[in-house]
Amino acid sequence: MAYDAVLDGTPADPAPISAQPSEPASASLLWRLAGPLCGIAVGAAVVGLAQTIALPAIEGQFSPRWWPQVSGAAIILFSLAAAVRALPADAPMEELEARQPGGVGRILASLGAVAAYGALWHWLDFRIVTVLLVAGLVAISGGRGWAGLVVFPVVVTTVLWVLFSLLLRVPV
Amino acid sequence: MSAVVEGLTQLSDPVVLLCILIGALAGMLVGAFPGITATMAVALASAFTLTMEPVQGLAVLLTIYVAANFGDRVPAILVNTPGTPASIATTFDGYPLARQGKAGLALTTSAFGAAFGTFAGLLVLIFAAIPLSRVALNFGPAEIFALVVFGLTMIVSVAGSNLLKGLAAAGFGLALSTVGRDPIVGTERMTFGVLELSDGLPFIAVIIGLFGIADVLDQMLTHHAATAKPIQSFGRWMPNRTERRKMWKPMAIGSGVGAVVGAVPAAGGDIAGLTAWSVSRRSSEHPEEYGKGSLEGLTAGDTASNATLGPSVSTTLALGVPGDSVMAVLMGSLVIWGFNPGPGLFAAQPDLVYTIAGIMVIATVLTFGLSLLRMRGVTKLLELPPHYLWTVVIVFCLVGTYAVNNSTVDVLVMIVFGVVGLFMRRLGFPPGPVVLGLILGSMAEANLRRALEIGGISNVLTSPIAVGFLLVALASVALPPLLRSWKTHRAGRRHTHTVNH
Repeated sequence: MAYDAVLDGTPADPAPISAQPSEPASASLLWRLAGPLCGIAVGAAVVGLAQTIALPAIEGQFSPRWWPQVSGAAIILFSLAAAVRALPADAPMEELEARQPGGVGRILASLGAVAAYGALWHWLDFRIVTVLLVAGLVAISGGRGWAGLVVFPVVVTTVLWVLFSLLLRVPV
Repeated sequence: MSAVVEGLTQLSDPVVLLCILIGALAGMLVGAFPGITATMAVALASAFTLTMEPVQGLAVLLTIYVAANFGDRVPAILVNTPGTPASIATTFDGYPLARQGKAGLALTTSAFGAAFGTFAGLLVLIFAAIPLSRVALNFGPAEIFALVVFGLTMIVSVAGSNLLKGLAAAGFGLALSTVGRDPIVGTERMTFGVLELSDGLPFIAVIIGLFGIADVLDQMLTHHAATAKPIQSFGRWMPNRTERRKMWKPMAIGSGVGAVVGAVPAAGGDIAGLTAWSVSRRSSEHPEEYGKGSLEGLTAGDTASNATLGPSVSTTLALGVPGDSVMAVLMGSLVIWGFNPGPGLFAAQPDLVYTIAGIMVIATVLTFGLSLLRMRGVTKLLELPPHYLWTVVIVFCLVGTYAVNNSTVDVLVMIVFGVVGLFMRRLGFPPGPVVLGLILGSMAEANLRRALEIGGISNVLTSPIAVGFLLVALASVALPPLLRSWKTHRAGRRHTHTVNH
């Protein structure tokens, strides 16, 4: 649910107008603070990671940790300010296109296909795995029929092969 | 005068003209595919051109350089993916224009801006190469740090409606710039033991992820077949008189910014495009349109990034210091051909400057013409059903990113930043400042630390160039809100006065 809310920008299941007013209000506050809170978490992670940087044997005027710490602190500072700014109920919010049903599934399936492509590339020829990847991505995105699932993958793979392998001599 | 005639006579060879044509076609193709940079194309072409006559080889390499800077606008406008880093600013207004059904107008305007910028930069190469290069030669750590601070003030413009989130995003970019070796002592930082990250995050993979992949993922998330409106009309192709009149000011700003940034070693079209977009926005009568499909914003960025080409060549030839990464590659070929870039080159072979300028002029005219011809075919890309377009973008980004360094780590970084970019969009964080922080972060850190360790803070404050940049940076941050506040205050007083009356 929280994942949906983050990706959507609005509650995943908008409450009907007749619902209790407190529910949408609290969801809205959570959503308004989601960005700044993520920012604070990222900033804290950067500052934490900076502490793991090894110090040189001969210390200079500035430690290698200095700049990462400054960057992390800046992220926390500005995210905190953004959180304070987002607290009022009438705080301005960015307009986002609403998430559509199946959208998250499409993304996860596409990322899965890319991961499988990366794994298979080590075992199979580039041309074979690329045809499979293109056909898979077309299918995930809603394409059907022999033109989309056979001809298009072969054409795209041929273009990639000619351009990168033959012309640019990239060892694909 | 004889140097001019001698230089231009070299171009009368039909083989040189054929080389320019081949370079133009290759360069535009290279630019149009995200992930294949002009640097990579020039590096690969160098292997083929080393056996050619120097002028013929230069014709191929320089034309690829010019043409790639035209071709990279196409994916930036049509699919929100910069073909090369130099067209990052193009995505800000080019893509919104395409989504408004003005892809034709955006492509034509971009081509005009790019051509104007290239010619303006070439004027610098021809007339001001030596003086500009002398100024750039005076830049030490303090001056470069001040220049970077000035560059960072662009965040105010790039951040969009939420400045605080923009600043936090810039902080994230600065943090990302620390990945790799420490610039002074060489300690590994945040590499997690991954050897490929020792030289820092692969910049191209990060920007392709943040812009191209994140946008495709966002479209996958929000696309609805019933509500999606495929673009049926590309609108007008040529700007009307009013629009043409509006283009002069951003073209002038872009040319000025590009000329200065291009002359500074290691600062390229990406920084120039972002700076000019920001400066143009501040001086525009309609700053609110920037980032939402402003022709002025599009023109300023594209003019500036192309205006760096001439000065960049000038710096490379006059100082022996590469103006950008393409020039670093080109220098290798020049040395093999027997040219020695540096202050002595102008004295020994003054005609070479005019040969190079001549090649770039012909390349620009040819590429500009090709840009206008091919556009109707290229914009058909927008008519592709989403499942084809998404697939093409993802697959080309994957293979293109791999091809830059033949590295699967780069591909992984691109995917990770695609997901990061998606979350940033949904959470209201603009990706532009991340790129800005990543580009400028390492330069800022290294030069600030060097400047402070050499002579403390006085090292920065006693340099007129550094102080000048810092003052301009301060003014560019402080003046807009002060002016807005003053205008509001004045309007309020007027209103009160009228009511009392």
